[in-house]
Amino acid sequence: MTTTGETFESIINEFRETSKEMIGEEVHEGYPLDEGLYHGMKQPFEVDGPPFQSPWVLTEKAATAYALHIGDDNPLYTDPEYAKTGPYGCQITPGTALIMARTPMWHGPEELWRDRPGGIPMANFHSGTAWEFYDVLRVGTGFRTTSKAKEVIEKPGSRGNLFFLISDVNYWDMGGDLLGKCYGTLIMVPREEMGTGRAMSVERLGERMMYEREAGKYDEAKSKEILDLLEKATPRGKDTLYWEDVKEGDKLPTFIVPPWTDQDWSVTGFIRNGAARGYAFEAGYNARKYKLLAGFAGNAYTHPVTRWPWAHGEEHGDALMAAYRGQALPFDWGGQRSQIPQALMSNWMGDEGFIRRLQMALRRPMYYGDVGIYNGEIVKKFKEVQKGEPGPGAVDGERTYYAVGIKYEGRNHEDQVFVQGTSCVYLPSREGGKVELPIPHIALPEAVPYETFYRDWY
Amino acid sequence: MAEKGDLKEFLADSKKLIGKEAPDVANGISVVDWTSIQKFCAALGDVNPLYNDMAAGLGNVYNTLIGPPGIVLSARTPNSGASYEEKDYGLRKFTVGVSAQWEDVVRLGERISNSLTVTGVNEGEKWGSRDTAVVESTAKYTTIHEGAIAEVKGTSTLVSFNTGEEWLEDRDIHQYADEEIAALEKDLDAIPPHRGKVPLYWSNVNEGDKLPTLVKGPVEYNSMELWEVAMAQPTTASLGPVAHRQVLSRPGQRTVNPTTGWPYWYLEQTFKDLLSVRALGFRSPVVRGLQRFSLATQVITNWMGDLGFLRSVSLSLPNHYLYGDTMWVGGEVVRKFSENVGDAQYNAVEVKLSAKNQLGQTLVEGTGVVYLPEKGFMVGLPVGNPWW
Repeated sequence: MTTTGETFESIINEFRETSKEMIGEEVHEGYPLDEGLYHGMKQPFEVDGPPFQSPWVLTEKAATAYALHIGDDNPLYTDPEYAKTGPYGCQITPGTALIMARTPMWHGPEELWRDRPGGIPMANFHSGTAWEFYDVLRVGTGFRTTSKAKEVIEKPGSRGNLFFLISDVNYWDMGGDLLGKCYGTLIMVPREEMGTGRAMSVERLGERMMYEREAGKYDEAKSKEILDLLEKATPRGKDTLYWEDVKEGDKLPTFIVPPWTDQDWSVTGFIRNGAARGYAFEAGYNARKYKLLAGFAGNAYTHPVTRWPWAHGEEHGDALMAAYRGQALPFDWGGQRSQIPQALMSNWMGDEGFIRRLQMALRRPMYYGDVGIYNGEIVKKFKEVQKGEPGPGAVDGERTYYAVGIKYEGRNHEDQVFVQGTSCVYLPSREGGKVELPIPHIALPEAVPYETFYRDWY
Repeated sequence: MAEKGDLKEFLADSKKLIGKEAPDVANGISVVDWTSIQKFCAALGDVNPLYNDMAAGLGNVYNTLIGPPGIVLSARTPNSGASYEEKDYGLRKFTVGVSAQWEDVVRLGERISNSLTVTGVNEGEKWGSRDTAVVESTAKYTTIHEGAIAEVKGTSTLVSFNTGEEWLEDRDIHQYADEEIAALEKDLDAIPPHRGKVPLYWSNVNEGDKLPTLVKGPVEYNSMELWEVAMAQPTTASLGPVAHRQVLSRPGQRTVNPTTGWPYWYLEQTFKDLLSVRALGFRSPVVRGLQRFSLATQVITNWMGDLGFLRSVSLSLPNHYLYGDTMWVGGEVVRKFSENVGDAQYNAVEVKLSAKNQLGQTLVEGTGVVYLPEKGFMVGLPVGNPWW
């Protein structure tokens, strides 16, 4: 895609400037849900806002499906009968499910990365999330959200500058209670070989790969090691873990995701609310050729084997198309990986623990065949006072919580770190009793800046 | 422990399940919400507003959005392999035929109940030098208040295969020549839009009339992924540790990933996975038979207009529809007739459906029956007991 007078550099400069101009504005990603709507079709969901109402409602079925799709079959999340006897008296789902109510990602000005025919020459990577949770997510909850552009940080990379785009997302229930906040980090990587559009010429495919990798190989011994870890990675459940019984230096039991599969990528499509990821067959062809789909309409790829010039660019799942993103193998979606580490904490803390903060920075893609081995350690033990205020959207009161700070990371089978992060978990205490929810808070808590949540955010 | 490739044990085990609920196919969707319909349409490339657009739905005879007829497959797929998952028989399963009859349209918000019964287990025809088994399973779909919606019978062929043996299909991804690409673009551009709100009256249809040809391809990863999502099978909707435990509980679905060597690979996902499809016996990913069936029915629904009703379709699905393949599906009116069902009379048309790929191989053969309106006469639904 070339528009008269535009060059790779001019597009990147335009991206830089217009992204900065968006700071403080509502981001139109996830809402209104027009991505995926075909030409002439009407938006079926409520679009008034912000805050925008999410079409995703946490039914029992949705709650269970959510947990299973991030590899967590903890009965507190998947078994309504078990959950009835738990601390909340009902089924809940992991707090990271808020991402289903709205993506925390911001890719810059949508008129460039999404709506410009042919897209822009930048590879996008969901590279981190930092969560603050104020309550658990109970079955029956509906959601309203806002997402604002918060920061643009330009950092040097090995092949030029990278753009870190930070968002500030608020999630409320339909009664106006704040359930959580998320600060998303998305990296846009300018790639000269893409020319002036999102899909590079097929002749340049493979020219500059971001990583050179082969799929992991598993013999009997390696497979057994993985099996052993899988068997041990079970939730603590009803056996209460008291704050007084943990200490700095304690290790969390390993959580493991076995060799990454095609299915592990596809599950993200199952749970997705709103429209599917594009249309197949003639509708997809027409969308790409005649720009009949809202968002990504003009992004056509030439298939490297069939030679079909109007191919869908499924870079994550299709082993032959991954090179269009500079990847040697199918790879995971960072947004999905941002939800998986919660199981490391929730398996360890038991039903009565509460993840108050959860941050992660994604270091490299997780590729087809990669094992994900998550380990964590308690690095801080402390008490924390949370103070609220009266009024709409706030929770009044002042409470002391018994907290632990956890540093964790995920490594693949080659011992490379693919995710690292921190978490703050509130535990029940013999001295202070159960973890009282919701957490007292003011109506609109200030956003935590990138430089704060980026490291040692307990 | 079953002996791999020995069909006798499989047949004996499976015959015990005849007349019983299929143990190997889980429920998919239970509510036909907008997202479920849209995902199904996306997988077919069907943008008919009758199925996609809320505003168009309110202005139609059904007073709401409806799903394409095949949406019932999202509630349960009639592709049981009987005892196939219970032991490691070393079998691969493919849907080779589908027959469906509908009693009513499926409306937005409908809550669907279903049953899926194993209705036949037999020895099949040879697949090259290999013996096969055939399993038939029949799904009945109703509203939760037991209003009949549809009955669909699927036929699955099961054949033995172990990685490294002679391929079940020895064909690489098709590479299109420049002239093939130009011709394909021309054919795709020539597809007329769905008929939509302009009624197709029975009296205006003649035997010998041709239905507009649909062009389905080249098949991409996305085409198959969207179908998998639309089918909403819980066994394909879980990640990592959970999926692993599901594989352990289904020995017949477990295989070794030929790329990584991981010995707990779920066979179902080999269908669309370029890096593990060799374990299925193919060089390139394979479109599911039920998707092929649903794509073919779109030829009729595009043609019949909003007031037409697809009564039945019965198709055999020979050969294989692979990643990179294109399928040209066409139809022809072969019979006009009237039939009485229950309290109602219907103006019917029988359509012959056929499809071929870019190599000239037949991919679909069969017929469908459509009920069409006539001036002053609507198609009364549910069939046989119209209620307005």
